[in-house]
Amino acid sequence: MKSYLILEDDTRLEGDAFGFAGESSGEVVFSTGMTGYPQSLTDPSFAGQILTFTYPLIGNYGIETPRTLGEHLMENFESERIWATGVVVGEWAKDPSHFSMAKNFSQWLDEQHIPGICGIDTRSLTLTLREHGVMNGMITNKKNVHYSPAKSIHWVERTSVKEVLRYKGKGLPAGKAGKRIVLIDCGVKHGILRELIGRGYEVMRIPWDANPMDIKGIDAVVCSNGPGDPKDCGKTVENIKKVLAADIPFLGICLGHQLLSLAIGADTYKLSYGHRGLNQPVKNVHTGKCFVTSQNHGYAVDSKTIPKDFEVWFTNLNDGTNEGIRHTTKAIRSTQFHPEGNPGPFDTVGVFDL
Amino acid sequence: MKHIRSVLLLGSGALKIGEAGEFDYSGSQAIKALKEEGKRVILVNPNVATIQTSEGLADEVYFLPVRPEYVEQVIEKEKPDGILLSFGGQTALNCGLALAQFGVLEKYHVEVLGTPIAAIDETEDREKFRRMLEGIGLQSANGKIVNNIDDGLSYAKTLGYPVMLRVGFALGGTGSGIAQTEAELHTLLTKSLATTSQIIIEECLLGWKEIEYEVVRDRNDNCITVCNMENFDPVGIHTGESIVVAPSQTLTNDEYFRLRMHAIHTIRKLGIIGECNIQFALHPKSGDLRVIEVNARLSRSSALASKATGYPLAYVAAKLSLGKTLDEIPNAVTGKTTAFFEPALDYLVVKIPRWDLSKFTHVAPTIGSEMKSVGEVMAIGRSFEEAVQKAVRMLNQGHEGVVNGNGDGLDDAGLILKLENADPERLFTICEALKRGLTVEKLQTLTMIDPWFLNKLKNIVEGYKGLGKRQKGKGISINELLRKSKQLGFSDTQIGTVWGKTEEEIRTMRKKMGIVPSIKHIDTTAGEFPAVTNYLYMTYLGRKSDHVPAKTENKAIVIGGGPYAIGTSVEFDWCAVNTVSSLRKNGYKAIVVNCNPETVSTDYDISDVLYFEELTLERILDITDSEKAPVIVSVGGQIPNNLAMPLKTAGVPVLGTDPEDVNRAEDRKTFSALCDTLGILQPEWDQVLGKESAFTFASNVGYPVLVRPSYVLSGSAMSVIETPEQFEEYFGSFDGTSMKLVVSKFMSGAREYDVDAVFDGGDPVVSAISEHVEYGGVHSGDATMILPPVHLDHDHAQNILTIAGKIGQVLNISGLCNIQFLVRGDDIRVIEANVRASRSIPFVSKVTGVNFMSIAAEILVGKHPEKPQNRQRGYVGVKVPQFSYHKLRGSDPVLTVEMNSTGEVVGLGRTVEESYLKAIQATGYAFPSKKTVYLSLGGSDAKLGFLRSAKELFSAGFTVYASTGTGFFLRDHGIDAITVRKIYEGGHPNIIDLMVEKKIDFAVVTPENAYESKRGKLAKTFTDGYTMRRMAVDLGIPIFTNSETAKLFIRSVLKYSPHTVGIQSWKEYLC
Ligand SMILES: Nc1ncnc2c1ncn2[C@@H]1O[C@H](COP(=O)(O)OP(=O)(O)O)[C@@H](O)[C@H]1O
Ligand SMILES: Nc1ncnc2c1ncn2[C@@H]1O[C@H](COP(=O)(O)OP(=O)(O)O)[C@@H](O)[C@H]1O
Ligand SMILES: [Mg+2]
Ligand SMILES: [Mg+2]
Repeated sequence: MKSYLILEDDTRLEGDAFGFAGESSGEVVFSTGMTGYPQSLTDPSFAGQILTFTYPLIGNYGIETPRTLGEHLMENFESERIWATGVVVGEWAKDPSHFSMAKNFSQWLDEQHIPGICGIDTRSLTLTLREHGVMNGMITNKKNVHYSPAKSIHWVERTSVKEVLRYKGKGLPAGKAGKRIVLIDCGVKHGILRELIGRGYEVMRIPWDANPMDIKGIDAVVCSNGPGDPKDCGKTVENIKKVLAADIPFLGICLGHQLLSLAIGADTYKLSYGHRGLNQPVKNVHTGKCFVTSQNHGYAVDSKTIPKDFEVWFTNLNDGTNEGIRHTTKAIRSTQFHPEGNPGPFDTVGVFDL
Repeated sequence: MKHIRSVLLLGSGALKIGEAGEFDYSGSQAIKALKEEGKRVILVNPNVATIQTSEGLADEVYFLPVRPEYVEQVIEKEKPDGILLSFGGQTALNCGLALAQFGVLEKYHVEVLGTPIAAIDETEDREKFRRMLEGIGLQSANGKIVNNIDDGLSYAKTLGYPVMLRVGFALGGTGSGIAQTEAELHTLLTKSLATTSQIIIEECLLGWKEIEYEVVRDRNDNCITVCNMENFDPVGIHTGESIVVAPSQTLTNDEYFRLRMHAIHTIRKLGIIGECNIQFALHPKSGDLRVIEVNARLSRSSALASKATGYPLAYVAAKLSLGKTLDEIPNAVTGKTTAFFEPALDYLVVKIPRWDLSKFTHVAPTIGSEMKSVGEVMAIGRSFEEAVQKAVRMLNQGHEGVVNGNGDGLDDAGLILKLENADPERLFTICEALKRGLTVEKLQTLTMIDPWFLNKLKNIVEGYKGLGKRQKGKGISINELLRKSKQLGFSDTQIGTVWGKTEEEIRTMRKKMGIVPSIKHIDTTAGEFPAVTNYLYMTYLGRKSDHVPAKTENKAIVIGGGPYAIGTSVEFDWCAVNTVSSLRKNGYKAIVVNCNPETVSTDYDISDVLYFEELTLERILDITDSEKAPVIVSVGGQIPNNLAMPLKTAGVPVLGTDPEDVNRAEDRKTFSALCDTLGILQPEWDQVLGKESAFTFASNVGYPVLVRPSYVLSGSAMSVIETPEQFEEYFGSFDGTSMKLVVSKFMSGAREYDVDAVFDGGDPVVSAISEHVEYGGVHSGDATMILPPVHLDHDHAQNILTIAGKIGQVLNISGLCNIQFLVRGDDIRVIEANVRASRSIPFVSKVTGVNFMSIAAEILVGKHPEKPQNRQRGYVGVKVPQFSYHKLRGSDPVLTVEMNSTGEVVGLGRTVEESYLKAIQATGYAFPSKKTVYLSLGGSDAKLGFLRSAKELFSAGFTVYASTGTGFFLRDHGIDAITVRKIYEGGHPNIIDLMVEKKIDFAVVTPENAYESKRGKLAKTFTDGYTMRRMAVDLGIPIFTNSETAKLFIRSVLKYSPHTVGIQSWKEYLC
């Protein structure tokens, strides 16, 4: 069946429908990762976005049966469901091959009610997005419609937990308690949870707008990744200020990094087309060491606005944008990239050692 | 690190199986990187056909063997501060290890730049490597070192069969193999123990996925993986023999990044600085992992990765060796970002090896853990189907695609057998099986290839069937069918064959429908950043092109040589690169089309625009449709040359000699007629139909005669026939009644000369005559060549040049031409003329110091360069072929009219002998140190002709062993030769004992006649001769099968040694 990707500037691309037979809209973004489609699509940061894969063959190793590591924690996906609203590919694998797979890519999208469009020249679409900046768009099987803006949704609210969840740390000797960490869930990737729990930390996962200081006996606060504009999360920013005032160690990841920056008075801005891929090079400006990182963000922190007591920690080697900040003396820091990988490299997992 | 001002770079020597053009790529990028950093570069590489040994690159070039005894002398003379070992393959690495071990580097304070010796050693010594891996929690295949047969057999028993046998310090899997049974292991062990002491018996990983990563690390411990690659053929088939895709296709994100992490851990642990390659085996059902090996140097895979991603690995590695860090090196492709990044691909790449096994006798036609291929192609597409079909056409072996329309001529049982035993045709066999309805599951059990790949091939087969089922008005529209077929990678020709139309008709039809390929950039970032280079490919899976052709009149398309194969090799890449630089110097935009990842012509900084594409008429026309530029077809060998007429017919301007005139030289009959009118003699020849007329012709002109089936070009399937009986036998091998044959009078004992000349509108501009050491009958590609000639007096030379001049004029040649002559006494005859660049162009250019190619290139674009001065020079260049018989188990190392060599080297010196010694040693021949020789001279002429040399050896104190007949003869003539038995004579000691005990330095074993060598008429002498020749190759004992080269070798070693030859650079010789 024919399907169309229609952008807000009325660019229309014809392809074939796969996955769920339906219509959807969102911000059309591209990711350059060559593997990791199950992880990307279940990453809550993609909520509300139509994800274009620049690599032309997607779905080669199929989709695994979801596995959990206890309640509310996925082992092999980044959340319980697909958060992207649509998928654009060159070709999806009709005959995937892997010993661990349970279904093919299209079946999965169908189950999850996500429409996909294939047969698209994703490279030329990417070049368009690169030149114009990201655009909104829709996937539809009607040829002659125009893009109409969908009603706006507070995606962080939508992806965050609704109540506090508690996770026990893993691998600690019996009777020994690990650090107690509060994780502000703005749409957290389970990879972050797995890293924290795997270090033996007890994790209290709280809603995006809850106050971490309400939890007793905490050793550190982590603010997660999440979708959208950091400036829509004013409540979280206010709560982070409270954490900082209490001198509690803090770590921000991705959106969490942007929210920390806002909390200390720095500014954020929208990138023209974001960083989405598994190959983003960053440099620790203090040690000169470079790392390949996994990233997924459309906003960035303006390094020039970072206040005195803070310093740039990492910068992006490609375009010089900010990739992390830290306090000059205290244990307060954040990274724009995803140290947990998933998808992508985990060269920087050490960031989670709190 | 001390301050480095000058760097010694070791090259890899001649192209051979397992070490080919990729090291010209890595060496020349290294030189550019070093020059950018202001270093003085001294290069040792005897390979005359390489770009890296051209003017304007290294400061000093030494055409000397990459062997410790020679390199030490260069070090002593040049006193370099540093040395680079990782850009010249295993040859350079082994030489470097030896120099370190002998204390040479320490003695002269030469610092090893980049990866330290200790790390290299840890990767090469399989036992140390295994321990290192265990230290970081990784596993290599379980195994054990053995050094005798009994230990090997008993360890294998504990592992259980099949087992893998491997050899340390080798490359291209030499000596390795899988033994299914104890008997097979016994044979393998015997062979390998003869040449090495480190043998490992290992758990067999047959059928696991084989995955490679290219890893780069700097001194600051920054580490990246530039590319990963997956082998279509699972473990058990050498990566060099495997079809390879990049990036990996069947790995999950977890697997991809787990392997990446292990790769980085390993490389950090080893302390590599620069580039290396790590190979993994991944169990397809459990994810279990083994490390196969690390190559602590640039490799074939790194060249492939470089071309596949656009990341200039060798260039970056060279900078890292000098102490730069990755983030300090700019990304040359984007111009904006740095070298610290991992390329993202938005296409996929398929590499297919190119084999030439049919050129050799007695070689098993199967593939396995040893390398046999001589070249490779790389295709880029946006689907596997598209890329693999492109790649198959790039091989230029007559395949239009993976589906062979005619079936395979095999019954089902034969097909299954063929599927179980991988061979160079397996891709086609699989498709044939799919066509016959074999299931993917069945094929997977037979071949162990991942179903992902098999299903892709199935899509192509289904697409092919769909083409045939087309009916008017039914199913999908013709427009859609055509588009789909193009997206599946079918060529116009193949579609036309099914539809009963010509290629041209299909082309016209699809263009009318707007079905044309898009041109895409390779930019290392999947479109995330704009690229500044023009590295392009074409795809039917695109909506829009991202390339806009330059709007200038001054541009030309240079078609490269395609895959390396026997007869077409790096020399044509040299020609292409020199053409391109000459064009650019003259203000032209140069557009290169080529498909060989081992080449320099496909480097990102060589041309203005690079199409990594098929060299087919269809694709070149697609390119000219968009670029609207004239085409140069005469610098890349036979593949582009064959496009001359079709391109002209299609209305594309072809630069240089008119294709019609090129054809007049190529077509035997017109050329003959032309020679007749010009009064030029040729060996008598005729094209005959059937056996009877062949016999009549032969008895008219007299034996010996040279026969070749007339459909065959270029030396293949040619035979020299000495007697009517032999002719009888020749015809016995096939039905000769309706066979078209070309039969020529074979000129025995004639000297052969090659003339390379540049003409400008028929006027000679510059020329050179090279003399073959061997008499006519040895293919010019396999011949030892001397420049200037030694046996040609002034008058004869003038006559030859006059003839060449006449041919140039009558064909109105503009550009290069190569003409071969046979001379016996005053009788001068022309064998053939090729109106294009020849194999010897780099050789004559470098020896004379006049770049024939640059001059010719100017003429191609209509300039009229001045004639260079003809200078007398006080030195001689000798070109010696490199054979790869040691890689091709069982192959017979005998020189014939068919070309067998895979590469060549040059030696420069004051005398022929001095030059020859350097050159022959550069092909791997050791200098005779034990002073023992074995002589077995077939035929009485050969014996007499050799007497003087034998005497010289004897009086120089050599112990002379000889076969029975030769022994009698020699003793009759006062040489105290010791007779050893031939094998068929029975008893000991026989010649084999002598060789196995390493008692002889070298052997001269000339066959009774040229015919015997190939066909084996007299079974017993043949078998004996063959066994002997083969044994010498297997044991690494220099062997001469041609008495002319043997005599030259003897003169050379008696007159010179590695320590008495001149250690002079190319520049020093030239001025
Ligand atoms: N244990 C094994 N079992 C089966 N095949 C193997 C094993 N080890 C290596 N191979 C095969 O042999 C090939 C050559 O081995 P490798 O160690 O890579 O040698 P080389 O130095 O020649 O590249 C590999 O590409 C792989 O396909
Ligand atoms: N008439 C002949 N007499 C003796 N040797 C010949 C004759 N013709 C060809 N040869 C030998 O065979 C070789 C290959 O023949 P040629 O016609 O040049 O084939 P190719 O097209 O492969 O170069 C020559 O280099 C020469 O040594
Ligand atoms: Mg190796
Ligand atoms: Mg290998």
